[in-house]
Amino acid sequence: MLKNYLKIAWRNLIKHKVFSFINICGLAIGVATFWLIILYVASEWSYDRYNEKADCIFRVVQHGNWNGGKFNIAVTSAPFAPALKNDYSEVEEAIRIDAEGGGKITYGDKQINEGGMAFTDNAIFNVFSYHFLYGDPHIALLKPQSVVLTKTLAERLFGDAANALGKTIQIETSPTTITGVIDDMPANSHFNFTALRSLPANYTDKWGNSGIYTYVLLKNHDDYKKIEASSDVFFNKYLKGDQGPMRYKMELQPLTSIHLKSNLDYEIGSNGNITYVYVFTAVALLILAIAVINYVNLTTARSSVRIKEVGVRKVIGSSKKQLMLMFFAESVLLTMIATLLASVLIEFALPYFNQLSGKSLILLQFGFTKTVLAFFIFSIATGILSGLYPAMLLSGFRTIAAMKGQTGSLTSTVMFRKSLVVFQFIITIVMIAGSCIIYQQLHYVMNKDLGFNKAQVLTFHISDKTTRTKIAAIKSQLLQNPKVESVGIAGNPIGNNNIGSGDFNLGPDGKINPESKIVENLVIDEDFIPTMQIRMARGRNFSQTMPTDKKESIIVNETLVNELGWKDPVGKMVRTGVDAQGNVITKKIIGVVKDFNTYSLQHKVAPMVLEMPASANDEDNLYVRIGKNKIQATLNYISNIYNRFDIENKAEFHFLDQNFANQYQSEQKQGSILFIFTLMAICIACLGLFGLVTFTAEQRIKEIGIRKVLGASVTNIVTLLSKDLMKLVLIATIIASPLAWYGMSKWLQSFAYRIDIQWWVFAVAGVVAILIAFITVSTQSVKAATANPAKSLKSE
Amino acid sequence: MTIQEAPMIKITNLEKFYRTEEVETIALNKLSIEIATGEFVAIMGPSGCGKSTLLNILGMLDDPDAGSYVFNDIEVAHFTERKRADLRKHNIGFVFQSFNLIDELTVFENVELPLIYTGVAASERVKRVEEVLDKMQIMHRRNHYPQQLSGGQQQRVAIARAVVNKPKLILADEPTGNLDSSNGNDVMELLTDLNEQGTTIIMVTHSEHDARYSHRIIRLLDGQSVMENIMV
Repeated sequence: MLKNYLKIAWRNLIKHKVFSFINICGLAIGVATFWLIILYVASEWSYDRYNEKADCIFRVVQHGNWNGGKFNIAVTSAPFAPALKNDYSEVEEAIRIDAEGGGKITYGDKQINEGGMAFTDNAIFNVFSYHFLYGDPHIALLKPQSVVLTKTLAERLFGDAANALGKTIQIETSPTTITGVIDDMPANSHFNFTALRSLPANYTDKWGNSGIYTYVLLKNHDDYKKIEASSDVFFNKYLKGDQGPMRYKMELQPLTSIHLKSNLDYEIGSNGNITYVYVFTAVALLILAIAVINYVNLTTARSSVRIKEVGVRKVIGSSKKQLMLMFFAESVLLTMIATLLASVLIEFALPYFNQLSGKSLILLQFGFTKTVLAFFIFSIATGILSGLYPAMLLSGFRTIAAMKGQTGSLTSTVMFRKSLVVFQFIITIVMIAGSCIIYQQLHYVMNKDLGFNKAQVLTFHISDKTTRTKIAAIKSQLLQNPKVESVGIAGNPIGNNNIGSGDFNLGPDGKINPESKIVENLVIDEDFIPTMQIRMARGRNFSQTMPTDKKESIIVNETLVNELGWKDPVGKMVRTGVDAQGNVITKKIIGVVKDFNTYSLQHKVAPMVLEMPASANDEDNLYVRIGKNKIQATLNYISNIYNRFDIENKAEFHFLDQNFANQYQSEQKQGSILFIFTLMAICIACLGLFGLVTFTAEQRIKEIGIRKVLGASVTNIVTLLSKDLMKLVLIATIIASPLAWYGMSKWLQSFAYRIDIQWWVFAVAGVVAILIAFITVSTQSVKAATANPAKSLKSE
Repeated sequence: MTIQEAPMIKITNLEKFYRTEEVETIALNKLSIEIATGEFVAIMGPSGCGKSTLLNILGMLDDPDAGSYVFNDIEVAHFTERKRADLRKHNIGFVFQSFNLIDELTVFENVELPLIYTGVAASERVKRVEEVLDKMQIMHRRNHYPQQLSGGQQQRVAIARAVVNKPKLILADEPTGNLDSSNGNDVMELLTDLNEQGTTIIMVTHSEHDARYSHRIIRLLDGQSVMENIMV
């Protein structure tokens, strides 16, 4: 029986080539897109799950709030881990990771700069599942100045990882023994280090110095609730009332949710975003739905062709069940072919998709057997899903009517089919509008005035401390080249991360407010503001000619002035801290700068205090504005000058506009992926339309002939055939617009600075959809309209 | 040829209406007919007299609105669709004016189809299909598709398909309607042969010539039997 069904199915495929082609191509594109997204989503979900104890591993993070402020940070301080292990019997292990373990490695005459090293406790090997190639995980990091290298780093240093064990290398100034080599950390880890170094013996620090990542291994997964619940007790015990107005809270993040759900300050690496995972999953299902709908629509539209066969089979003795099975056999065979084709498409598309998504996915991500099995089950399920409605419809016709080829009025079927087309185009139009808005927003953030001129400014960090004392000489030598327009200095590279904040007592007129306010704090020299072309709103910039500026003056930004409601800020006094002798330091506001952004436009400009560097050590970031021509020559010049002062390190340049653009990398990535998927959706939806209109034209060929004989023009006929379908696309536009508006408003909320959504975006999306749909429909309707009517009339 | 006493088909006061929103048409009006096993009956009458309706009900493709239909001593008038289908596939073969072969299947596969639906084993199917194709003299066309055959050949395939399950009754709806006279005569000879081997045949026809092959002609008008001619 099955053989018979498959035989019929195969012959039907061969006989109706156009429809088979449309169905298979549409489904294949849909299935391929679906699988690409599933691979992507699965990879996002897989983060850290390779750890055998993943379920019981948590990261300890802190939340704090006080009057008018709050912080949410992924870091804790060094005493956290020992205290947790000591206080809670539920904690089996508590370990610390200090991500700042990178530096220059020297072995013999080999030198490499390796930033990706971390300090940690030996117990890390009890918590995380790292595979040791050489060495003993029980003792590897017990002694200070030990290091466990990953295979790649070991090979970089020694050629063969087998030669690494027991060797002593120099990391910065510290001789360190290699006590183990592990496999590289899997790419789907929320942190990824190239080497793990042991912490100094009895390492600890102040409770308030948060800069360490703390991970705990609990005995049972649910124990985290108890520890979180006693967070207040914990902080009261160890901070002993030192919190001031600050309220601390401890959170234990499950290891497996960090990558997708954690978005704190000072994350250990760059995380994903669960929202995108949900959005992509939805998009995957919707694209598959568009493809399945094509099959349903084309098959039911063609029911009048198949109906006689249904009648004959019923007369000969087929039951309804047998007929349904026959139609299922057809849809399953079709989806199987489509899935096979899809796997070829995936194989071709993966390199591009990987480039776009920054992943390294492969078709057989889950192994050969699992993938084949998944494809098999998937194609059967999709086949049954897409064949369900046609099978029910076609097998349900009454025998006699079917024999006569009467499908009845089928109003409900036609309505159903129209609704499905509308649904397809709603999805398509939402995606078109979404892509437009993402593009507009990204264009906006890339080009928005940040309050300074980011073009032609390069920055580099001075890592060598002695070089920092020679800043004045470096500046003057750089400025001898006419291509170097100006050079400024600041304590932080802006555009990369939080620049850090400080505690200031800012007062109303004349008095200093006893309650402090946490504001952003940037150390700059007198040339920074002119170099960056930041505008002054009031007062003046720091000046070399005013020796008091260095210690007694500050500049604030407009946001700070507005937040405090100051009318005349210049001349006010601010308490900035306490010096080593316990004397209060007060400084005078000498100027107000217009607001400028220091970070991506997801973040609002915060109140800010600008100070001059207290010591040479704070002068570690150079900002150089250069001329537009001969950039490479200028860069070479700057490198040469810099190397005269710092022979060991090379200057690593970053262009400021690039720094800011990098902040939107993930949005750009998501935008491009969505754009590609939009194209796919349009493509599949149009294939469906093409099929429908081809069929309509075929069915109405006699009617078209008669109309032409009676004097209808080509335009009349094209209109006749296109009108109905175009109406559906129009309805879809009307329904899609509010949906897209709602979705995109949500997305835009993640930006502190965002565009207003314009109504015309939806109009454009609708017009684009209508235009593409019309072109699709026209190809067939024009063909039908220009055909010779004598031929079509003779055909009956 | 012997005609047995017990009727194979006995319909009594059979009624069938067709309703649309505004009008009700009576297709069969208290029709009563008996047909004995082994008979060859022709049903004639003008268009719209109820011939096809009667044939559909006799073939259990449709159910009557009122009256009784006894087939081989079983009252089937109120059978469910499923029961009718079951009875039908084992007992009745159909031959249509427009052949109604399935275009995607070869001659062999078309004839094989009823055997598949009644669950006959594959080896047995081959034997029986070949047997019947041989009898219909279209064995040499077994691997051809319907569109590659002439009308007469197509109708022979259709008859082969109707008889392959060895039904007790064959219902033929204008079997020569789409054929030229020479091919038409061949088809009528075939039906006569089948009848002589014991198959009961009921045939709807417009052709007095074809009707002469039967034992008896039932003439319908407005859903009622108006005359019966016994052929000599």
